[in-house]
Amino acid sequence: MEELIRDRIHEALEVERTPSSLRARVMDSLPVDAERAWPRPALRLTGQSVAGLVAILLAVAIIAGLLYTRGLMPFIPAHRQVPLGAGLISPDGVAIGPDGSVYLSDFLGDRVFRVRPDGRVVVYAGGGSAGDGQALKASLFHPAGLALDHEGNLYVADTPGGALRKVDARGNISTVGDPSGQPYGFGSPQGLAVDSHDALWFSEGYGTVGGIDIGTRGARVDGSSLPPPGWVPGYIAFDAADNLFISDRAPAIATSTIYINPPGGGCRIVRLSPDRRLSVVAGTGVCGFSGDGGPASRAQINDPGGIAFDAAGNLYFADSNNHRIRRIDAHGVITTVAGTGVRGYVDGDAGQAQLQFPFGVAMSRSGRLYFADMTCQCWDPAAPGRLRVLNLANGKISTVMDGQTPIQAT
Amino acid sequence: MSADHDAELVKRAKNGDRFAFDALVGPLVDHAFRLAFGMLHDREAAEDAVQEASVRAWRKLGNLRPGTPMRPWYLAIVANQCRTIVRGKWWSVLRLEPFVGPADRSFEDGIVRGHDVRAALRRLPADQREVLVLHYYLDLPLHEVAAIAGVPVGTVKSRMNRGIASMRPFFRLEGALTSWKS
Repeated sequence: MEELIRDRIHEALEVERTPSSLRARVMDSLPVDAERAWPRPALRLTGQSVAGLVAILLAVAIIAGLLYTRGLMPFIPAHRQVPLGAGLISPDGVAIGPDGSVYLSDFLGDRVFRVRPDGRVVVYAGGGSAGDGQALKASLFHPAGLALDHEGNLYVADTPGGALRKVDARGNISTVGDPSGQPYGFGSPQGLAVDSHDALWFSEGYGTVGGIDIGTRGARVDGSSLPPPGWVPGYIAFDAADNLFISDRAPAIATSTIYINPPGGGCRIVRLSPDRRLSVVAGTGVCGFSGDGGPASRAQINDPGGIAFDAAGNLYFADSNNHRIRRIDAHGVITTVAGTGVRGYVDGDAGQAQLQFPFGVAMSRSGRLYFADMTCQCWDPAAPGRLRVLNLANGKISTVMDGQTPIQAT
Repeated sequence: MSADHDAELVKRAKNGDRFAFDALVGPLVDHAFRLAFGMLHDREAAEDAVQEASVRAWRKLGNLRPGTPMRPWYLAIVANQCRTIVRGKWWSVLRLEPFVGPADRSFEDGIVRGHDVRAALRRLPADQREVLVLHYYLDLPLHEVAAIAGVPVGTVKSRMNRGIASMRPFFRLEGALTSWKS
């Protein structure tokens, strides 16, 4: 056994040999001073320069604060306290629970709703002002992506807060972190997905995708190997074979309203396979609309949002700026399954229905594709979005929840 | 290399002789990198850890008591640096295979994720991983592992036992496959 362990550990770790240049690098990095004192900072701060620096920082903080509280900050809508009884404002992420409950994040409303199987809608998390503890008393800050693990825990991307939150089945919320309770930090997390081993995967708006084995360590992937123009990872989803599909969103210029995507973004759907290979499944790197009936890799799409799979393995995604839901089948052929491309709000036959910036999507076991219809991307309570559903069996779209839907206490 | 020769090199290095420090630490850089990689599982992070630990060793050389063997002293600094990194940084960079272009094939091509020894090792607590790497990968005797980890030999043994117990199902499976193949 002793030899077996030794052999296996050698085999596992000898994938990386000591770089031949490391010894020279080590010696080059030694400080030159004979006394081996800590290096002095290059910048010497005098009292005058410190005062100047503090004044500049204060001025920037005050201006940013004023802009932010008035909702004038261009990239993040202001944080507003929404009364508990208020309705849906800006639906974003969607997830389906094992009992068929639909979970919906309300980005501007700072809550997560649960649509029970009987149709009643309750607040599941957020709306309060507390930290970790009871989910209904907790404060969420612009929640976006949602994902459920196999134990029924719901993960929420608290986007500008840079945190991932976990709501357990008993209604307690906590912040995802290391075993000592230290929260992990994220850069504008958006998409969430759980793989078959219950590892939680996330995307960050500034170009990374990563995964965490809860309680141990995580890893991040950068998309620098992708062809130009780089990527802006949005929503993510796993298929049955643990391939991770990533929406590569539109660059700033292609989004029309308040929210400004970071630069880059190729309007593509990218796959990260379990053997760590990136490939483009859909999109050409140029935002637009084309290619229905042909290979998805030669079709144009525009600001893809959520991704979901049906039981047969077909991929569905929200082609947000094209106001469509599109499908890629197992042969890689792309088609539109809902929406005409004309922005609007019309339920009924999917081919004639009108959508308005569909975004988060989730597939139920019975073949119903739930999607968040954002209405205007303006995050304005006066123009609330909707939760709608496409029944794949009959091709009909209906509205599940809108800004007027009453929110039940329990 | 004799103890006298080492003592002379240490004396010269303490006086700022970089060549003497190179003669002392240079041969240990390979051990240091292997320890750091075993702890961090990230090549770049391991290189950075060795570099940083070496600078710390250079600065702390004045604290090295006469007669203290160089290898456990230096590797203890490397191990400490790795522990700091493990505590402070919860993520590593996942290196990707080269970009493969458009995926015209079916995306249900069923590549199955496997758990290898490295993944199992990575899941261990850092203190268990450290002693396993030092003993089984760097092939250091237990008393030297204890000196590097800064704990008694008995603690090293119990950490090793716990680590092996956590990985035992995997070793058994691997053992079964090995014996079947042979």
